[in-house]
Amino acid sequence: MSGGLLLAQGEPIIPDFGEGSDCVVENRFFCPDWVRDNWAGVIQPALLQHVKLVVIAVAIGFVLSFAAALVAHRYRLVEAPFTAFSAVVYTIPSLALFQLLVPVTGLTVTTVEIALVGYTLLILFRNTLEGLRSVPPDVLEAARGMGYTRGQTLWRVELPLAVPAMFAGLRVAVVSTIALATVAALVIPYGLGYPIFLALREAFKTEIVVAGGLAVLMALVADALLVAAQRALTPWASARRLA
Amino acid sequence: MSGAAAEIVFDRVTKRYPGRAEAAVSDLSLTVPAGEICCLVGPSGAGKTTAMKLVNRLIDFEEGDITIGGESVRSLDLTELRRGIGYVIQQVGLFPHMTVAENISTVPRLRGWEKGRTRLRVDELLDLVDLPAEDYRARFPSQLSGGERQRVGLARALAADPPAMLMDEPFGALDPITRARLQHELLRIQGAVRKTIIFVTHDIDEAILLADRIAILREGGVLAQYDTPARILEHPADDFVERFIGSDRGIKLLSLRRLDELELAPLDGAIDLRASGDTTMRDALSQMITHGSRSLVVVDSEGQPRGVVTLDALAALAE
Amino acid sequence: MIRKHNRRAAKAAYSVALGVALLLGLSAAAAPAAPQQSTPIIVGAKNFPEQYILGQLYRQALVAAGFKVGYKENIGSTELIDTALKSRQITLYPEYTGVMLSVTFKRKSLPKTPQATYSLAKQLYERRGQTLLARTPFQDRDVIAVTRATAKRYNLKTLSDLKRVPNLSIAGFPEWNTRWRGQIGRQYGVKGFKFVPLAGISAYQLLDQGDVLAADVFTTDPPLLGSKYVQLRDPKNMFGFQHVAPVVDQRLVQQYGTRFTSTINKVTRLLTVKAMQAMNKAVIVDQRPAARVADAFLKANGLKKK
Repeated sequence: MSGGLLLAQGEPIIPDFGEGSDCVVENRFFCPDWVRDNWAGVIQPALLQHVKLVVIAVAIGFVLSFAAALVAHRYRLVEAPFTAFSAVVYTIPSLALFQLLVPVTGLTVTTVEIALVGYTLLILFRNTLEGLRSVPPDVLEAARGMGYTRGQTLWRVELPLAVPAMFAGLRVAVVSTIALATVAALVIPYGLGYPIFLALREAFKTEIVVAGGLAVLMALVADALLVAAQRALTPWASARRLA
Repeated sequence: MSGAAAEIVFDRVTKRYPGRAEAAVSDLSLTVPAGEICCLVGPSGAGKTTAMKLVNRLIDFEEGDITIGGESVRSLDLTELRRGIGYVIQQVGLFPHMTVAENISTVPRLRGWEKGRTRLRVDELLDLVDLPAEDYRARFPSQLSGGERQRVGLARALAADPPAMLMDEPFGALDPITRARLQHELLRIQGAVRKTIIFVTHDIDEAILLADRIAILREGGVLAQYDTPARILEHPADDFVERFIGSDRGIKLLSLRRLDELELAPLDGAIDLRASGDTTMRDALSQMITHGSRSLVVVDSEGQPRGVVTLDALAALAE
Repeated sequence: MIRKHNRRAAKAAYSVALGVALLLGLSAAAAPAAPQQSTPIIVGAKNFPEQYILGQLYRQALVAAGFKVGYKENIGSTELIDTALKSRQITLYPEYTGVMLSVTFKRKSLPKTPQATYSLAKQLYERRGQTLLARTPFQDRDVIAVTRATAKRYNLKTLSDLKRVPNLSIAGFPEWNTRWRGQIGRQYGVKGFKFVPLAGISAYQLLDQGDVLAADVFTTDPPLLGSKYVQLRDPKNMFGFQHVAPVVDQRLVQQYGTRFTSTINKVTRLLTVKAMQAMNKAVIVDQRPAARVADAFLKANGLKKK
């Protein structure tokens, strides 16, 4: 190949690629026709993928941090290393984390999930542990004095009382994961980040509005569901206090 | 271990904490007869709470033994032991996430009672501690006043009908009016249930009011005197006890006695001050001083005068 | 707006990543792909429209020529796609020659001709197991554009003509100012202008509204298709060269030989600036799917059966 420069063989033929609607071409704020054309092919799959990314990440993150918090509650020595680990993970920019993971786990959903799970650990671990530790000493003494075993104290007293703190953690984790999951699009065309980043680059307003709006809506709905779930699980926390 | 009250015996019990020269409880021997209230009193550092917690082994010990109804606490399974002893603490320690009913049924549930039996028991206990079950059953602790919480705490401790109860300054955090009311409630309830109760307090007046016997402990958990309130007030064993019960022990002694015990002087002229026969001598004295009167008319239950008590008669008693 | 020059943030991320990699004892080099009988063809593309189009063109042309091709698009940064390349998550992707040198190989100074830029990059890739195939006729680089009216009024042809413009204002991405203000002053004597950072609005819109007089844009932007704007020449090549050349794993060349390289090169040589602008317009302005645009282009030019 002589230096890579290829002699042009005449100008290429540029075919008619078809035109967008006036609304699209003028890039108006919101083009319903574009949404109609792209809902099934672009937006809906992205939304479902996004929900999946978040649910899986938070579920795995919750199980891991919950287990770690139980261990740290029992053995204090475990707290510092796990906190340090999750804090370090938390501070790594997603792009940098992907740099580390791509050679190992490839350009895959796994890579994204590992990063997202990593970001949930710190908040979920801290909150669960704080929750377990927030149980008043007199309550623990009463439990012991009445003959609760250690396990019974944990499952019947400490964990139920840690639920509000755990939910506080979950709410932050879910909302921030919904936001963070857009970075999945740095690795694969997956989730709402894909149309959002794409539309931002093209300054294509309709797509920004729809995809961005769906992400915000998803965060609001998820948060409302969590609040409702917490209310249902902890009627005592919202019981009217005696004046 | 449930049902009828059991005798609690401390037999030469010593508790040492590792790394501390002085023992927290030293060679403690005392017997709490079944169905009596024993108040453990003493200055802070005298090991009264420690001594109490040895009974349900919240604090473990190596030297000596404690028996409940003849059984060594060390021979019993730890959780079984604790489930068989009612336990009441100052901050109550109600479970915030459980309703009043759930709190009270804690030990019955641990023991696997049937639901129906537990429910009946809860209502019975709420009635006993004077909280209408209909109104209180479903409340959460955050919806109760301090006094109500302690009533629930008491009901919870009584739930599985334990033969013995441990109470660690249960009324210490309440305001004086609520405290006084609950003290009398406790006496009323004890009249009905007759448990063996070890009651820790730093308030000698509370001990005098509640106790069948008082154990006064000094620094290092040494038993200074163990006797009925009257005998302690009349014959303090040593200087420490005398100082501990205070310079007003004469007055305190009067609080143990009622006007009925006195021989009354005949009615003599018009005296405004009146009191019933079950008034304590201390209260009678207080009334006379308050009203600047040297005498007081004792009336019977119909309000008819029975005779007169004079200041001089009370003063003569307290000698 | 097409953006590939996302260098600053990416650079910072890269250094952190490198540090952490050392810390954890994990690195791209530590996890080489197992030796395989044959290296698969996996086309990668970055995450902006021009790259989707290029990725689709190469992918579809290879498929049409009978190759089995994997495809991964929307990879988030130059560093990340290079990591993917080195770890063989992808084995081919289109990159800009200037970016290869300044981002991937961290060169401070760039060669003075397109050919030298290309040759140096190729040499550097070959040291680590990749190579470059032929480069495109078009390049997508920074260019200062003004409206035709402005060009006429001040008689603007090259960057140095901007010196004569009173109250000059230039719009560009925020990092443009730090990177180029000094350069444009030293090389073309353009100084003391007002910089307007772009935020959520296109540079062309600012030009149209008269909010700025000049704007830094990219040579393949669809609005440059017509004659509405004038691009000021950069005779000193201050902005460097940004032709596209496919970076490929050398094993692919060894394995498939000229049947493979000529398929790619045939596509590459069709990519004039007019062609790229037209395809960018179809994707960005008309919101046509990149795959369909690439398909139409390849068919029109006989690289794919109709």
